[in-house]
Amino acid sequence: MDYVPALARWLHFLAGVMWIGLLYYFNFVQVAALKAATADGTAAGITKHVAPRALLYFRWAAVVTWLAGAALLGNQFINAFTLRGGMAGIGVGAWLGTIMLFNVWALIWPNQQKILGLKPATDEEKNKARRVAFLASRTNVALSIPMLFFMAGGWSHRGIFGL
Amino acid sequence: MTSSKGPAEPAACLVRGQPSGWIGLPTLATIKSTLPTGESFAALGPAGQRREGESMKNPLDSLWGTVISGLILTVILYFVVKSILT
Repeated sequence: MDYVPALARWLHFLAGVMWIGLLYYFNFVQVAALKAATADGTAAGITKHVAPRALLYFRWAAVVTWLAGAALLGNQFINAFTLRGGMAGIGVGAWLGTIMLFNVWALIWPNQQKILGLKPATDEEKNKARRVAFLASRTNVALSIPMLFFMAGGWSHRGIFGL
Repeated sequence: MTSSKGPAEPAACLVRGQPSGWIGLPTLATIKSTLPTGESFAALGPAGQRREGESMKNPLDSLWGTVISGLILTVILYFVVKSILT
């Protein structure tokens, strides 16, 4: 059983890099690229071939990241989410990650399905979906900044917190 | 999100896509030229508050606004966690 935390940490990092990496790709690259591509009529390349694949890895990497993180917390899971037992730092990171996972599955993915035509929607519904998905995605970018600060908290952060 | 534009918004132009400098922030010259003075300041109403119907721009609409929001949230949560841990 000693292997579980090590493997969980490894998997947590692997999936987390994919999740947050794709989140940053969407926000730092694809939003601006799609705007330019729409202007010159080449947006279909992104919306048909790139976005669906990126979203597939994005949403499932989010699930794997969360599950591996939960396994890594092990019997400290409750302490982390209740910010007790000296687990407040990683607990805040865990809460932020959980909110981000919710955003992915409850807001970003259902609305992206409408935007990409994977689910039937009127033009008005698509416009609303674009706005909701965009804001949820941007919220996740903002949340990822403190989330990574607290997730990375270990011995290196003890001085910062005056411990 | 609403995005009203017009000449009767002297203070609002600080955050509404006026000519910007490095990383999209307004330059000092832009800030100075858009600060409300005299009658335009009076148009803001009591204590320079925005008039009804005007809305602030959502920081999440801009990439840098999003990053700065994340950094501010980090600082706030740092103090929260520090108060719990110590």
